[in-house]
Amino acid sequence: MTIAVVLVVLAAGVALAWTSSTTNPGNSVTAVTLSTAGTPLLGRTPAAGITCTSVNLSWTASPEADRYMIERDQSGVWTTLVASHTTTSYTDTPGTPFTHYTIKYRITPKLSTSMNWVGPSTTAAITCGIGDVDDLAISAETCNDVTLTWTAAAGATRYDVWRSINGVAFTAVAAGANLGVLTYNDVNVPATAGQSVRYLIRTDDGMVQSTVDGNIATVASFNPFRLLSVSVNNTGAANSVNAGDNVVLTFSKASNGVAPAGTNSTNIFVQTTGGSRGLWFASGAASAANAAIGGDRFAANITGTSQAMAGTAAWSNGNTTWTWNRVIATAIPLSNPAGWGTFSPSTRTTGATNPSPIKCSNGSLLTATSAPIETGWF
Amino acid sequence: MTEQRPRIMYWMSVLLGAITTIFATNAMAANGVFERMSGASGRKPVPNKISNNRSGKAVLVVKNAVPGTNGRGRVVLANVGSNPIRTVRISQDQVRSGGIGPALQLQVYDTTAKRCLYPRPKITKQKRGAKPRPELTTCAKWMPFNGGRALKSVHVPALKGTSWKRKEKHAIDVRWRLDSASTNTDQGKSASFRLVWRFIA
Repeated sequence: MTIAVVLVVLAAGVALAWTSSTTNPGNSVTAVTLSTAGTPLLGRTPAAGITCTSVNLSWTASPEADRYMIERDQSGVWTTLVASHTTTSYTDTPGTPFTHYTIKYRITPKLSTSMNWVGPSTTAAITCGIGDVDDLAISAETCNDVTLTWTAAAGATRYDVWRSINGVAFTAVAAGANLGVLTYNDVNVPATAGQSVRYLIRTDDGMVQSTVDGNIATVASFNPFRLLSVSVNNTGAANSVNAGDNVVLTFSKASNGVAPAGTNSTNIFVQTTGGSRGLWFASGAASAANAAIGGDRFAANITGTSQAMAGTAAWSNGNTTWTWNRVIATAIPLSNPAGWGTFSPSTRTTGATNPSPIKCSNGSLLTATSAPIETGWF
Repeated sequence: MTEQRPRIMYWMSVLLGAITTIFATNAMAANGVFERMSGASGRKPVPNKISNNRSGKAVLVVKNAVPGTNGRGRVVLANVGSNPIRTVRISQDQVRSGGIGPALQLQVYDTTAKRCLYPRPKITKQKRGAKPRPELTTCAKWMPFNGGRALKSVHVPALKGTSWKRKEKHAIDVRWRLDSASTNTDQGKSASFRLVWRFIA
């Protein structure tokens, strides 16, 4: 009975604490997506000729945008003309009229209420006379060669390639040689490792050459086919060349894996006298004209007798490493050269008794300016 | 001993019946369906009942929001029962920030009481039963879209006294703002949430 009364009181308490709830689901805020403006229509003043004194732009609005950024590209670089333009037309009147130019314009939708939001851009181009090349690019660097590509310029039938090495003035390397071709392979570029090489194109319509340079394409640090390092490793008795000793040469780029070839291609020649005193790699005689790779000229003798040290040789690491191994047990006494000399790359062009020169994958020879890091001794 | 068991069973049945009736009454009232007819003349006042003019629907559905702009949705809650309601609370749940959350901001403002609910104004004098000072037009600052604990079971004060009186009505604005510092990647993104109102009489 008592329990029942307690429960009734509790139930009455529940009845007093009336509760209810209601909800408002699906409240949402969705941000707008800025759509593109129409492709700009471009008109020029005067209507024809090699010079444009002004260019008129007009475009259809982006429905969501209330501002437009207008940019111009004269030579591969976009420059902002108006950061926040309020209408859908604009007249570009440059300080100096455009002569022999392909001018690009870019329209980007924006909002007056936000610095950050931009819509997709649209671009259009107009030519004032012969157009220029403003998309010149380095498409490949192979061995000692640099390959350039570009797209056609309006009104141009010929493209002249100009080159500058390490900041020196541009000179024509293929003037008048490229009739309608949109690529150029600059073979055996005469730059040394680490130098900058810059290119530009001047267009021509067969009668007149454009006065405007296109964009500049740059090889920031030239990397020719060259010997990077020489490591002479003694694995046995000191001061002698024994079986198991080796010489490891590393190259900046892959060789063709074929050369050196010939009967003396696996020798290292040691010379004791004269201007060719030193070590000659892949060689049967002491001179750059006889060695397949080249040699290091020393100031002092390193052995008593000039002789060829026979061994085996092989390419490895993707044909970037050439390793010579002494396999004959007869020891050849050597002394430390007291400092390395100067490396001379091979000057051989053909080989019979002595080996033909090693070549890069495209047939280029070792660069004459090679200065390898030389370490170790027997 | 044998006579006591039927008596206990009897009282238990009575008790269960009472509890069932009480809970059913509460549930029906909560859903706004408990209305008894009084004779032939009309409706008899329901003791406890709340109306939400957007019940089950969104207060805020914004499309094409642009940075640097703001807006609001309004919901009207009213005590349509005959009894006062002691407590009204608002909560936010089912929040989906959709990647735009940091740029999207929220306020909840009781336009009838002229008092901000989210964020809650600071109470300057820590007196027992003190209420925040009314904010006549707007809230002190914008708050994160995801209110978290700050928008969990927030008390909606009565216009006068401690209870929502009979026929007391509050128009409550849910305000949003897309910050002008919103980043370009916010374009096209969407965020959402649910509002839950709880009442205790």
